Amino acid sequence: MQKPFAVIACVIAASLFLMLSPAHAHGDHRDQPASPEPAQAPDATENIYSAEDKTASPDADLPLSRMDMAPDEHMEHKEMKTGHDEHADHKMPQVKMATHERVSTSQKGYGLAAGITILAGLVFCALSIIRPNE
Amino acid sequence: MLNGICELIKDRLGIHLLEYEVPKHSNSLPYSLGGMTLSAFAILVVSGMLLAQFFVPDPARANQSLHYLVDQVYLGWFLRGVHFWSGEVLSVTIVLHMLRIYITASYKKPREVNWLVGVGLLLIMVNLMFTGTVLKWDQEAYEALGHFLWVAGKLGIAGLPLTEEFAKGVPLLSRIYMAHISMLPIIAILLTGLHLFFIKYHKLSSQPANPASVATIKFTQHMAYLRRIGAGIFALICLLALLIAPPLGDQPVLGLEVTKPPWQFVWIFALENIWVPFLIIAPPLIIALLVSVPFLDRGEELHWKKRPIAMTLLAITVLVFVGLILWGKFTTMTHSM
Repeated sequence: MQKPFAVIACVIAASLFLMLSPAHAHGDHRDQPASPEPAQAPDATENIYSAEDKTASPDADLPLSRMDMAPDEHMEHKEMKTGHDEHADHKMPQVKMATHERVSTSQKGYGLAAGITILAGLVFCALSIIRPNE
Repeated sequence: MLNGICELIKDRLGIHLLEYEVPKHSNSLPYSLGGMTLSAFAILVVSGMLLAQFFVPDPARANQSLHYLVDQVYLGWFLRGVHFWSGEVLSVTIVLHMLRIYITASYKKPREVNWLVGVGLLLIMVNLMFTGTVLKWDQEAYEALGHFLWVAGKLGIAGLPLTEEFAKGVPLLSRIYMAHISMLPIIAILLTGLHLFFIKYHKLSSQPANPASVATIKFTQHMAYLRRIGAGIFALICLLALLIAPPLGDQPVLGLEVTKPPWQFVWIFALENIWVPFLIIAPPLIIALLVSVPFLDRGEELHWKKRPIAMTLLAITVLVFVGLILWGKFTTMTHSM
């Protein structure tokens, strides 16, 4: 019984290691994003359901079918976008890479979340010790 | 008095019907991986219902609504973390469960149909994982969807329902959201019911090392064991959500390919780098191989030591997948679509 548990624990640990490794850029020849800036919380007074969305990306309404182009058309399109403009590089949009980050203890409700976690752990421990109906 | 109340409840709810005998080895970790998967799925469903209260399935607002959830809503970050880590735990337990079934040859006669139901469940979970990762609508989600649309476009008429052309004017993200919160979970629940029915009908498979064992326990004891396992799974998920935030980028930038998929899909990303058509060929090939398992391996041997070909194929498959995942995860890809 110990061996399978050890194997399963190792698999879960290895999987966690894989999950937590940072995402790297796809394609070295592309612009690498600048060092990540901390996420800015939207203005507390801003209503996400407001009719005028000032923060919407101008590209958000463009059809996804642009990604549906054949690879060669796609490359041509990219070359046209970046082609003759000598200053294209510094105007290329920067992408902030999404990574796993440690949860800050200043997050709203962190104390309650910690309490829920501890309670869940205690319940598991109690069930493991008492083993009712097992 | 407490015993009296318990007897009253048992009588009213028919719990005595659950006191049938099951093999004693049901209460062991290898034979509880399915239960762990089910526990993780239940947590996903509940946390998903809560997340749906805050998510806006519109391309212009989806990403913003998630940032609002994690930054402004009390415990919103924790809720999203619980949902994300439940998916991660499920990804691991479902694979381990499938490996256990394969190693103990529990797919053999008369359980072939239940193996097929299990393959169906695996496909539904993969789709749920994919649609879930697209919904956050950041750069990685956008690129993932772009790859998916490229494949759908190559499938011609068969891929049409999966593209924007099928419902012009309706954002694809909205349709993906519908699939993620209703169509796929409904199918998953129905298949899970069928899966459990066949386990009850054919009974839990015997241990290959001890096929003649007649030691049994009551099913209610097995449920108590699963309850403990489920509590452990929930505690683990809460701990992960408390410590490590799931990734969340900003609104996508069109025309760029700078991200990699999550580890569950990075193997196909690596295959794409070898040969782009693998994106189209690999998934149906893998499904066909999985479906064919109980029909190719029809021998009577159950013990893994007496099935060298099956074990060799398993080892090769695991090594290939792990290799592709590691390669995709830690190297920089040079291919772009």
